[in-house]
Amino acid sequence: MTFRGRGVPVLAAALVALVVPAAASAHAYLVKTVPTATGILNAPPPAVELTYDEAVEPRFAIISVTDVNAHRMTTGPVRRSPANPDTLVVPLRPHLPEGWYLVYWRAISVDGHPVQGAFTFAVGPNPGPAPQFVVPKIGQTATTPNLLVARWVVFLSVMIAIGLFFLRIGIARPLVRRVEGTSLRAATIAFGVAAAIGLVALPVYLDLATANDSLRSVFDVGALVPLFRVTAFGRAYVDMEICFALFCAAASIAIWVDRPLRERRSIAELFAALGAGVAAAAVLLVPGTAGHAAQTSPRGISVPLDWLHLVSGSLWLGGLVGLLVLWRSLGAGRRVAGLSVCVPRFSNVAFVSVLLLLGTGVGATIIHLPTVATLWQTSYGIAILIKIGLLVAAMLLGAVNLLRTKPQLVAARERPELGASAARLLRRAISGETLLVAGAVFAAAVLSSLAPPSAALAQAGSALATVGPGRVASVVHKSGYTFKVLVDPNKAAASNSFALEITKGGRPVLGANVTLTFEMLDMQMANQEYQLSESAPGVYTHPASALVMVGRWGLSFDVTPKSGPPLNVLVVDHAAG
Amino acid sequence: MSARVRFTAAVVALAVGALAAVVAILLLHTTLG
Repeated sequence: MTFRGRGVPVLAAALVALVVPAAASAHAYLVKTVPTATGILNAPPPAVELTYDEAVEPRFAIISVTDVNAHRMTTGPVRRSPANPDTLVVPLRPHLPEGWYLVYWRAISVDGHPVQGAFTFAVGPNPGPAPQFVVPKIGQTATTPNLLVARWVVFLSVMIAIGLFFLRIGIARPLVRRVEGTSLRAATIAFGVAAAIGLVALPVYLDLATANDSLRSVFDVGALVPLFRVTAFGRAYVDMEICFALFCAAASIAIWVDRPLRERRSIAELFAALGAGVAAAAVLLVPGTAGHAAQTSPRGISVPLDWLHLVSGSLWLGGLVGLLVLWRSLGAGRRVAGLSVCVPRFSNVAFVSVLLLLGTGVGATIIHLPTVATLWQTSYGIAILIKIGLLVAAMLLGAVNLLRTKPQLVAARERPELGASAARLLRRAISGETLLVAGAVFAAAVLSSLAPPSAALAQAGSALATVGPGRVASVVHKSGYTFKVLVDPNKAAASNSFALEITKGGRPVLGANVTLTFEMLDMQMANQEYQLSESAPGVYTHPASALVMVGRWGLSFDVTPKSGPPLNVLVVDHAAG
Repeated sequence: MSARVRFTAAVVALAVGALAAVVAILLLHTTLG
């Protein structure tokens, strides 16, 4: 392989890093609702207003308001409030009857990710008990397999095209001069194929994503194209297509003017290569601005980290593909000589790339994950672990190349009969390495489709118990007290009964002051706080429809006993729909 | 291919690269601004 005498640090690097090429994000979240979630109104509201932390696009938003029988209560489309660009308004039927209503909403974040939620409100004064609504399935992502594959193809083709260009124009350039009868035509053709796939894949992906967000058919291109530039995500991918097309043009010129038989490059060759290099840098800047990186503080660090991660990944992946192409294009007679020119040169680039992947991946992970435990507790973290696993496997194959293939290639200079087997081994290992890195890029495509863990998850590590889904009756102990946490029926968007039974030494703790705070752990939402009342000796209860969406909730009980210091009991509850 | 043609093509490539950089920087400015 590829890493000349540097296997150990390279392997060590792989163990830790190579995390997150795309970035992570803050998704749009609700900061205010009118009517308030779970609130009871004395008069029917004329409209439902949802205020987000950013200006979400009304044409991509859904706000449904239904009664207990799933009858629609809205009378018009979702519009932006003239008073506040961050607020979406949907008009309601006049004179809504008394009763409970479910509001289900879906919006597209600035970074292109759908976010969804639900809450209830009631029209009084006597709405009756809150019913059990059927909540639409609420997930953290609306990514479909089609979108994921399209995103993967976009990343792969763009990264491989850029990496192949640098292999052709830089790494493999001396091959023609040093090994007689060789040509770089195959690498040029491979670059052309990757560039063509990228140029097609980008608009196809944009079409699929816009169709998904606006709930239209992917074949309704006439309606979708005007929507391409409506969201920041769409604008970024249109700009990425423009930048990539410009890169392809500049790179084609650079290859056209390149004369590899001359050792020293002319001014024209340098100018053209510089132009293509600048265009490539511009292309790889776009995903960060379209994704999580630009939404994650500190953006001055997360955007450059994302860019460097993509640059180093492109050089590595494109270089591996380029070596495979060269292996195949070089005739059996020149294969060993050709590889002995290209492989060591690529090793230097790959080594620096892996170090950069290490540093930027670790940096991005630190920025995006609130705790180490979120690596295995959240789907975002698990995707990172899978990506690391794939890259570790790729690095192990690299070690095989380093320890077995390279010495054989060197020995083949003295004993040519060893060359063929060394080249075969090199091809197998690099093929495997390429597949694994391509798999890691898929994991990256998944990553960039998922919501990064909420900062509130940082507290979840101190939870005394994790409970749910389903009815909860869990006992925890802290500071000599015994707490029994009861949640019934523990369903989202339903009225649940929350109770805390406190005993000390087997006796109920009377007269304590207990407040319960609800914190959504899977996405950013405003907290809700309720005062619990003592309904029986040592039993503090409150009915509430506070679990307004499916997912993990931090139930934080602040207990102030009549005597003794106050204490906090935190339980992580999984509420099902 | 004459040197003049090659040099002109190279300048075009440089200009194209600069244009791509302007597009990306404008996008960055819009997004982060």
